[in-house]
Amino acid sequence: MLTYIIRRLFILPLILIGVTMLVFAMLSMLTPYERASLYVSDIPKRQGAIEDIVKKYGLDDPIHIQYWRWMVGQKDEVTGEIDGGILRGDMGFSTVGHMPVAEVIKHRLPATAELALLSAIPLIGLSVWMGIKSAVHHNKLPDQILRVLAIIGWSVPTFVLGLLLLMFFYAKLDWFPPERLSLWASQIVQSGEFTRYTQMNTIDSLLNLRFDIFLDALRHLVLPVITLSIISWAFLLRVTRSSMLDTLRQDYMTTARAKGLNERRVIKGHAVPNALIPVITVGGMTLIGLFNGVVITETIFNYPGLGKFMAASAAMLDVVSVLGMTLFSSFVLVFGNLIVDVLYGIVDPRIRLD
Amino acid sequence: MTILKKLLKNPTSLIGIVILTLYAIMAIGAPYFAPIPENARDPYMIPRDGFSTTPNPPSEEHRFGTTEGQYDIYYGVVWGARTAFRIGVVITLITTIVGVLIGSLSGFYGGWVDELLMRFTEIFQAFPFLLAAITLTSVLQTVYGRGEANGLVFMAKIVAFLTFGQNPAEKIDPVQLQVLTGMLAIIFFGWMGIARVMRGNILAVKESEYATAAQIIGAGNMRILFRHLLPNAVFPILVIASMNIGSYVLTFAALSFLGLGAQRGYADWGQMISFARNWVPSLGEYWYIVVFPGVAIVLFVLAWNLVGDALRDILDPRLRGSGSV
Amino acid sequence: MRSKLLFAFSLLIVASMVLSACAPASTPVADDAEAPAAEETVAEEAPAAEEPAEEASAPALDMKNPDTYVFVTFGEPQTLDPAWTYETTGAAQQNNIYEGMVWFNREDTGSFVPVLSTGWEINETGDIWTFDIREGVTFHEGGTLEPHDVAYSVQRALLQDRLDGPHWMTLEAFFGLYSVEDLAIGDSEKEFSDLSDAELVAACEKVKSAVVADDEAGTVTYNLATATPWFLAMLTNNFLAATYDMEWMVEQGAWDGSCDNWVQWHDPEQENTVLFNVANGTGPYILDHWTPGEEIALVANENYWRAEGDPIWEGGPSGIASIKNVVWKIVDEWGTRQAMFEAGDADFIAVPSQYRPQLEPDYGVICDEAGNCEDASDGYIQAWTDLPSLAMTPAQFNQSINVEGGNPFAGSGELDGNGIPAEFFRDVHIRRAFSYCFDYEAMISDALNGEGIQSQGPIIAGMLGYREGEDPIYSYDPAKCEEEFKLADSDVWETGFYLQIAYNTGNDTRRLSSEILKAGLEAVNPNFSVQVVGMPFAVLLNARRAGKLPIYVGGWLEDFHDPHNWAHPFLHSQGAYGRVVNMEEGLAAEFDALVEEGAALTDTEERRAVYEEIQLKAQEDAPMIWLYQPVGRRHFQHWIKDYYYNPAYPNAAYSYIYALSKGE
Repeated sequence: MLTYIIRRLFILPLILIGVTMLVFAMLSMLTPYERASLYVSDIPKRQGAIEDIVKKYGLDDPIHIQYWRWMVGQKDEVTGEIDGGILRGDMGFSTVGHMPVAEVIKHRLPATAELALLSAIPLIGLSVWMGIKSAVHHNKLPDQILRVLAIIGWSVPTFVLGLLLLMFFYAKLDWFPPERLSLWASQIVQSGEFTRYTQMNTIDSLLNLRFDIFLDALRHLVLPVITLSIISWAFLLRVTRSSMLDTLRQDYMTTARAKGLNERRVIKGHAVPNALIPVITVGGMTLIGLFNGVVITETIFNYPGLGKFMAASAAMLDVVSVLGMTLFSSFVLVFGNLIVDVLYGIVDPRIRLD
Repeated sequence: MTILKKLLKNPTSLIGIVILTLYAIMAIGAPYFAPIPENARDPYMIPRDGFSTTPNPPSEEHRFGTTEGQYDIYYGVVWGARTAFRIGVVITLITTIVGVLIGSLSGFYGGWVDELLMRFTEIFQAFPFLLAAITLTSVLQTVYGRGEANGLVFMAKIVAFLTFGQNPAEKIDPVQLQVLTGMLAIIFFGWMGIARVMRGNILAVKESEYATAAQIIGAGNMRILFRHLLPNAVFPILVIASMNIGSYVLTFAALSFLGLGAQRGYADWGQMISFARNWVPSLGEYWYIVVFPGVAIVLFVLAWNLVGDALRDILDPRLRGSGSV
Repeated sequence: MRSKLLFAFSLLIVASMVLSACAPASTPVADDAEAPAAEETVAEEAPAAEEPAEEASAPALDMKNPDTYVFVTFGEPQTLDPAWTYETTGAAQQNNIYEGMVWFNREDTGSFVPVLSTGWEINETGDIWTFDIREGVTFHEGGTLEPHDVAYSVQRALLQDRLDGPHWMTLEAFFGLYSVEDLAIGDSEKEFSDLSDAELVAACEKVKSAVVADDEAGTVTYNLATATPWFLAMLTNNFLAATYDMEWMVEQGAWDGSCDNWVQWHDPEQENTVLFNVANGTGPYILDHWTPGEEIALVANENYWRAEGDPIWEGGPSGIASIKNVVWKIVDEWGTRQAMFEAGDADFIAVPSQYRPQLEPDYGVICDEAGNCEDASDGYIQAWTDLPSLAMTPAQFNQSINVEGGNPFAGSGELDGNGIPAEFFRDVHIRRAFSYCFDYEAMISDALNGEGIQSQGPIIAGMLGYREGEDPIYSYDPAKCEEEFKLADSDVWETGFYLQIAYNTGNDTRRLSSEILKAGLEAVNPNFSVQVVGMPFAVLLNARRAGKLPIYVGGWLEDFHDPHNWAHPFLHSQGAYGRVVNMEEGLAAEFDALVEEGAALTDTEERRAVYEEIQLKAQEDAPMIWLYQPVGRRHFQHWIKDYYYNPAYPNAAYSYIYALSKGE
């Protein structure tokens, strides 16, 4: 177990380096003049401006030199200050976000985390409960309904679902608006009398005892949460169901029943805990996967989180932002997977990690 | 043959197959259901009726109405079936081949080959998929826009040949190019799942009797790999592949939705839905711009998933009814 | 049992999905049978569609934020440093925070009132301008304005310069060249980075002698390279005009006024100037905060120097600003902006032209360019309509396309029906034919919802040189288009051609213009084929740099209000666009001579004649298709008072909030 963790921790930086090199490899397919497009908003009015930009940002240097510069920073010839350098903890300035990449993440992460967490809790609870129901009533009506629902949930694209939800619940009924808060609420949240402890509106409003704002924040979260969780819900439901079915067929279940325990107690006491073991892994991975799903969801609901920023910086080919976001999300992904693996090992010592 | 029979007997997969057949009829008969206008240069470009931005509701002339820019929704939905089949099948084909190749090499040889390939796979997996796909699409569009010949163009020509039957000797059509860039981006970052499953299967089969028996009779490595291991590890791959067709169509639609997939006005469902973004507060009024292409894509993916689900039951009797992943 | 149930259930789901959408979509077989169903749906939908309109045209709500001007739009500044800024979003913020020597006289784009000056003198040759600096002006952070602050501000701006910045035109006015680096390099033929310290100091001294302050006399003198009739107009721009407190700036770490090490502050990245997200001006508003991606907030300057009863122009505002708070809110999605407007949360929203019809039912008051208003209904919107903007979009022909090494935009690169040759557009008949084949009507009525004027050359409506009362030469006329094509030297009519027009994804005007040109050309001859392709901006930039684009749709937004800023960019061989259209030498020389003549004259009537000649020639020789000048609208809540439309403001609804007030 310990060797496994050490081994993974050793591999983690290698993967992060690999990922960033991959980004550089992709961007090296572009000519320096194409990459200069990030720094101009339209065709420059002055002749030679693009050539000068290429020179200034060193876009025509060999790609390994540019990579090195991104790693260790660049010394300013005139002032002697070192600028940037990921190894010095500086992720650079995001042209798309108008602030340093680290600030962008700090600024936008709470919104995304709020969305992901609020999606994950009902998502995992509901799908596990449904999965167990489905397995216990194997091949009966509830099982079949849930099974078909899962396949349908699996088939609906996020953006179609999001738009349809907006069509009904916003355009027609005006129940659940997009964005994060209504204007009146956001004015209070940004004013001095409201303390932003976590930057997550639902939690902050409770801490400030502003239940009206809490309700407003929830109202804005309903549709994005549904949209974000639907695919993972279908997936998790199926995993729970099959794991539960497998467990129910195990010998010790028969033994338990033979001992005369009633079916309820057999299921609650023996089957569920065992069936949940694989669900932990998949559930953990799903939670990490939600970070991926936010790109589309946030775009549809105009939700100011990391996903929207990712889409914008990738489309604008903002190298610094894309690298920063890749590094951040890869870290979350790889590190999150490691934690899930370790948890899995603790819950089920029979598992051999390799 | 027996597999097909079983699929037809199973009611869920039957529904899936029926829907897919209807889509196939729609795709093949597209020129009949939605005739190509006389002066059209490219049948995949949706004909338009004016340049006005406000969508128009269904009418006699435009059965499903028109989107922003007056593109005919009915035409787009019908011809979009062709695009969906082509995109789904070709991406699945290529990612499956790549995944099977890397996964089997890794599983079969083990040791440092396995180590190297699996780290390589992990790097691709650590990349947030949509971020990667968007970045790569933007890069590829830029590179192809240049119109110079290089290795990437060669790749695009292979995909163009598989997708559109385009003669590799000819230049790539700029309208198709955007579809190709989206497909290539998905292919680049879509093979890892299959590779991992394949590797796991190979490892499992390797420890089983076939392999031991084959080694005892002294068969060569490659021979063992191809004659014995592959067929026994490949069935689960078939299941995944059939499910993947649907999900690749979804992913491509998502790229189109973000404005990076098919060209504006191209007969592609995702691209058509992307128009709806500008009309969110009035979607109640302009429902037809999202409902028609939306239903088309949902049913298409649903059909593949129904078939894939049943296929799993049939190919893996141990899992019958359990719906395991 | 299980199978049947499952079957029935999935069938039910599928069926309900099909039905709920009334969609014969998925089953083409059912097309005809289902058609009436589709119509029924329409009938059902119609009343629902009217509902929001009925709701909304109810009388407006009470004023929600009486002290705050809430401006809801998309986009945000690159920086708040005026010297760096060359885009309207940042400039609009700075117009409220900083001041310069002069400002527009209300809506008049051609006359100016003193602000930080009390008057000015021009020498006879028109190249030395002396301003008397106002006394008793204080900065937001407490300093007092002195003449050396003004000179320092200009010198800092010029020395800072920057790649792709605005100072090509200020440096042109002061030195007749386009960058400070060129000024330092001079005739030495060295790279800028190889220049010696002495050479750098010399350049700085030149800049210093261009703007000279006399603290004793209370004056600042601008020494220009040559007579510059548009100098006052240029002086309204923040990049030249914004005045900072030198002492405060040096404290913050900005250039200290010494010529020894100015290069340290030269050409910085946007985030690396001290004014990136702080401000200290003399204006009626103080920057409160800028939260990127969310909002920019300003508060009224309670110590504003302008006394009550001393209006900036006759009947204009005076004293402390009437509106106490200003919020520029960034909301990218149109739908959200509309909702905020309807709720009364926004005082102004940015409205893309394609969505304007959605607001029309709620127009309560409709005003025109001159400020004549009339009541339309009891809706809540105060709409200003038919406002000409100082922008124009032409489609530029590249008369010598780079076809080396393959050029997808030019197809085969030969006149064989699958491409166009490099010098395809050297033929005036082909250029004219293209001009006749563009459907101006469709562009303006369909794509722009009627809000545009067809252009008649580089000079926009209402400006010196615009041929008042004359129609543009070209209109959409397939017969004349055919005729011109047949007059061409080559047999293009028989062989046909193929070319691509690229637009950057997301740029709707560029795309629409290209699409309409394509439709017009392909309709006139089946052998003509035009492909309109959306691409990332990088492709466009790179292809244009390499001279590969046969046709480029590129708009121009004026830098300063003078016909020179319209004729020069388009038609002069050194102009921003003129230098890349590769006009045939003879034609280029003719245009150069005319443009230079217009700039050299100082008499207005003489200039008018020259610019009218340019305007006519620009149509006859058709180096570009002169498409359209957009006409804009502005939408306010009815309680915004004292608005006027000045098209030369960087943002006509935000640049001078000092003049606005709120009231029922």
